[in-house]
Amino acid sequence: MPRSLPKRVPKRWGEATLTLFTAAISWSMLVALVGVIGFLVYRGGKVVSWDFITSPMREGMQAGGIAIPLVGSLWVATLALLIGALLGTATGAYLSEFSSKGRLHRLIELLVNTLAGIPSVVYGLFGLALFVVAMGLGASILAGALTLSLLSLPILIRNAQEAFSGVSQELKLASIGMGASPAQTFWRITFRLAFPRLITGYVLAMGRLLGETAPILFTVAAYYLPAYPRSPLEPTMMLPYHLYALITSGTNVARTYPMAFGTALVLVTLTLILTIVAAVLRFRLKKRLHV
Amino acid sequence: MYKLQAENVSVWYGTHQALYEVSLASERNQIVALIGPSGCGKSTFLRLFNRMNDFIPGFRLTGKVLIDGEDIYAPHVDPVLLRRRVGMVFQKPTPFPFSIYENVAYGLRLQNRLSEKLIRERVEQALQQSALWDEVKDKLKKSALSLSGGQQQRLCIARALAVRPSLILMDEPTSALDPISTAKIEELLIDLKRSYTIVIVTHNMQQAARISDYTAFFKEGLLIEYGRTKDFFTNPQHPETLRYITGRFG
Repeated sequence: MPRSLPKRVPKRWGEATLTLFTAAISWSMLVALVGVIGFLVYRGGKVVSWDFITSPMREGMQAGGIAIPLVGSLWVATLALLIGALLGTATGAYLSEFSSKGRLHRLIELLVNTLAGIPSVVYGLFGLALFVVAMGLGASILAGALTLSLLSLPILIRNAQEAFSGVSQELKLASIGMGASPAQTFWRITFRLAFPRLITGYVLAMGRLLGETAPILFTVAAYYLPAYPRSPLEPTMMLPYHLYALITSGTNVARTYPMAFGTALVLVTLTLILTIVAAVLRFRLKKRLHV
Repeated sequence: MYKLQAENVSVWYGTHQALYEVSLASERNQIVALIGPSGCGKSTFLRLFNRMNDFIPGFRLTGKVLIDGEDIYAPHVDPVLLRRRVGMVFQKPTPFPFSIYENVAYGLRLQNRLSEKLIRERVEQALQQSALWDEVKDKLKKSALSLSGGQQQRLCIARALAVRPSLILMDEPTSALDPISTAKIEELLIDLKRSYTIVIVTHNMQQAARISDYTAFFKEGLLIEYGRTKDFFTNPQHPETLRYITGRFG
């Protein structure tokens, strides 16, 4: 007579509770996100329009739009990303592909981790001392971008490190075995295959840079400067600081509060769009690679 | 002159000695099979010939490794250029996630600019040599990852052949494949022998017996026996070899 299969054991209580608990937390996160955006739409949705986004402020920030701080923010964040991506990717490449994993490697890793733990306002102070004063850049787009790029370095280094070491070791060895030099292998295999992940990281970092406030306070952001920036050596208005100004120093709260929430809504939407762009880009680029 | 030759080769990884005074030589247009239990040093020995062990931390070598009579560990030898003359096929198929065409062209594009016309000719030749041409000629632009495991491995062989190496190293090239794909690759190797010298590591003794001209048996870093394959399996000289090929260990 064949032995019967073991009976299905009823799910244990602990397991069920854990599932429920973790699921509840995950869902509440989503609720929080929807809540924040919903709140912003509720308070600021009325003022957001194409006109709000594309026209400069009027009547001493009590009317008009946010075009100038928006352009300023994009300027600074883009420049910061360019600098940060270059340095971060190079460092990540060294750590993942070229270092001999000795003492220098551990030292750099330690520094990167420390860098990640520094409060952003300290970056602002550092930027003020080094770029604005010592290097004589003044409060300017360049000084702000340099400061922000420092802040983005730990993320971009990690991103690059993970992107490069995520490329299969077998393929790198296969390339070496074909007679490719380490540099050829890096460019033709490692970098090429890591590219989608790199780009995703850049775009996500851009999203974070757009929202940073403390590092731009003393290095670039102007309280009120009703002109579009014309050179990287000028200061400019920027969205996060503009938001702060609208909330804290408005004399006509009934008019400036909705504008502040509208500004916040634009900022969050921008970040959200960048996140989606990152996901789409990654998918598209991967497909092009035959992966 | 021998095509390949090892003279009293000992290898260390740090303090661990992986090979002990191995000497072995082969003429051109032969297939040399390296067999032995896991960890016996056969893969280490294979990778000496394209200096793939150089990357392993603590790697150290004494003795001489020669290809066409030339010491490939001599200080003036550039390991990158050496590897362009010595093709390698790995255990798992390792196609790059590019098109079939670009996979085969990979090694050619590493060299000084060859014309696209020449590259196209070489790609076709290599695919024909590896008996893959008829299966892929209409989809050269398709992803190499769309091929079956056996086709991928033949693609890797084509990729190695495209640069016209003088020696081909294979590290258990069929151990991840089904029997039909394995048979195809074995046929292919016998065919390739006319133009190339092949060193192949295999776990499969029947495979060694079927395709190789010479067989080397390694155990614990020692070359126990090396000889003509037909004598090796019918009349082994060493009791350890007899024990291994009759399946008493390993």
